[in-house]
Amino acid sequence: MIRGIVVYALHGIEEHLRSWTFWLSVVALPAIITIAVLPDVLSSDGQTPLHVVAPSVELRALIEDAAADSEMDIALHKVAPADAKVVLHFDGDAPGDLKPRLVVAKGDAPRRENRRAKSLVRQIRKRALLTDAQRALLDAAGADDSDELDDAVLKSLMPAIVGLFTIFGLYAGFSSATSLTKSRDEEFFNVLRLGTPSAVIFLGGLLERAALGAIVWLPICVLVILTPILIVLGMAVLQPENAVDYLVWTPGLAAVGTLAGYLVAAGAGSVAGHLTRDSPVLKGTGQIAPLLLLFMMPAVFRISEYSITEPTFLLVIPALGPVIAAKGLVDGLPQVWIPIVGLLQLGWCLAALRLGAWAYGLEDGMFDDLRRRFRRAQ
Amino acid sequence: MPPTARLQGVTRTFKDVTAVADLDLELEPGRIYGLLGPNGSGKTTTLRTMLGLVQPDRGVVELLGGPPNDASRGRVGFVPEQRGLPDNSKVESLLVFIARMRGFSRADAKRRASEWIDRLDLGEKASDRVKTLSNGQQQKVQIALALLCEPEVIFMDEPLAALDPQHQDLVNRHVREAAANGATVVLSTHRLHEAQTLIDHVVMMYRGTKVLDQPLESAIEEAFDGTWRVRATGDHSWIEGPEIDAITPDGNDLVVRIAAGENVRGLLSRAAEAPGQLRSIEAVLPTLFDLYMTHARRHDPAAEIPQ
Repeated sequence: MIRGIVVYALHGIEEHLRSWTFWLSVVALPAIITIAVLPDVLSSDGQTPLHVVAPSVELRALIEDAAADSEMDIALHKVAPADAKVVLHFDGDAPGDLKPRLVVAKGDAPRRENRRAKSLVRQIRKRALLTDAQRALLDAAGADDSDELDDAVLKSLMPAIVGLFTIFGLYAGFSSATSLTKSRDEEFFNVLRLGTPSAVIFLGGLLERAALGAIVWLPICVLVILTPILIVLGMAVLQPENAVDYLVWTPGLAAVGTLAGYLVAAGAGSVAGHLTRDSPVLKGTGQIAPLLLLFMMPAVFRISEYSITEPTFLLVIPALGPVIAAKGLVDGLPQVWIPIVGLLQLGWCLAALRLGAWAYGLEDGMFDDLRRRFRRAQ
Repeated sequence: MPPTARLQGVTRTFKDVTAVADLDLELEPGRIYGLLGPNGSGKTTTLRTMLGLVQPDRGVVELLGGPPNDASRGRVGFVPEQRGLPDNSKVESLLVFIARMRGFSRADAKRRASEWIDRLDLGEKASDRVKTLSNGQQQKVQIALALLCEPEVIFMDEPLAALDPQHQDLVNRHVREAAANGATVVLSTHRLHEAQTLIDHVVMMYRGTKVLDQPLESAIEEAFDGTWRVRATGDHSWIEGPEIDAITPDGNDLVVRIAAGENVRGLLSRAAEAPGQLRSIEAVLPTLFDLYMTHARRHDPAAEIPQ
């Protein structure tokens, strides 16, 4: 039986490896997405100074301190320079009475500028709330707000990573499910089933999907591993102990994103494959899937951001996946098995989450801890 | 020798339609069965029930000595009516895959795949993807998949569809060879002329019921209506006799119809008394098509013989 499972899975993997759409998902699509996303995510806040207009001397001093703490490159002005496209205005005189206002000369506010402005405001408010004694203590201990800076970077990186991986998962799941369902639904499956236990086909299909998922993840796994290492190396001078956050959370969220996306898409794909198997027009969905996914990116990012600020939402995605995916994964099994397999898969997903939590030392109160971490990052 | 497959009192309905009703059927090893009948007569349901792909509502199904299970179905070859090969698979890799799923080692699977690729004249297409093949070539791949693992029972649903005469003959030879080696072959088809040269047992179904189950030879003998084709020279008056119903000229021949219950002996006796006049005489046996139409008309008087 094990041999049958392996043979089945290997055949499916070989078939996919020969398919250009598969490689599109593995190489081309990640490349496109990476090119589209990384400049925004990884660009330094200090590339161009953020123009800040503050009316009072006291406020200007506070802003300078906050910007220095954040290593943010700003240009302070009494009045807005005429050639500045993005200007952060502060109305009000007292630090406790700040009213930040971002003014954009034309077009949409670049996300990066917006983020920098928000980060600066946060820093200023934080410093404004500290007493002189606290500030002196903080400076003496060398515990500047690099933790806050880390949080800002984390906040930028994590939606991107979750979103990125969700997209990969979606694409891989969709393409593999449509093709598998197509072949399973047709007469070839009846030929294949002769003498092959249903369990072999089911477990072989599962193994095949898992392996294909791993292959799809591979290029981005390199990014996932390399990126935090590079960040940690780069930040070593500042706060090396925070490296753990990057090393732990980025691959963790990537895995969750991929798993969730993969399962949801495998389910949707299997249904789509089933419904469209006789439709020449809709059969083309496999070919246009990459484009659709590119268009889906903003929505996926929103969902990712929401997932991070409300981590319990993460549970919803993998919980939906198995339920929908069950149909596609159990083609060929008697109907009665479908809910059973769905439950097994749900358990598997929850176990994976639980295992991840245990591995990251978050066994108890995992989501409370998640929520706390990301609320703090807000 | 025990039957390779047996249906006893099998009934299967789909919603309000009874696809197969109280069907009894036994298949013996080494024989080629022609499963005939109009569309919707229950042929495909019968095949699928024997394979265990369709569960009967009632009745007993046995395949290779017991209820169809993974072990017995692993000894079966199946050519489905509709082609459903995975588009992106390469021919050789597909054959190797199926052979390996049936338990053969990689080396053995490759050897078998290569052998059947040659046998079915697919050598030039071995490395091609299924989607690039013509319908006929895809059909040959389906047939190769069915015959690859030397099955003991072979179910073929319209196997000759899309094949040119040359490849029909090629497939027929392999089917005969499989039967000669002891396999039971069940051929569901509407191609009666081609089937007549291949099958040795005819099973005909009509509206889910079996209406004929007989060796082809005896079925044809039974259906023989006493028509003889006679070629003679000179005066033909010796042909006439009390047992002769009708004499109809047909080109250089005469088609002579002998009355029911009579035989050809009287005619041959008179031929002996008119030496040199009878050149040849042969029975005009009904074809499989005639058999089919006879039964079709018997169960549906509105059925017309196509011109």
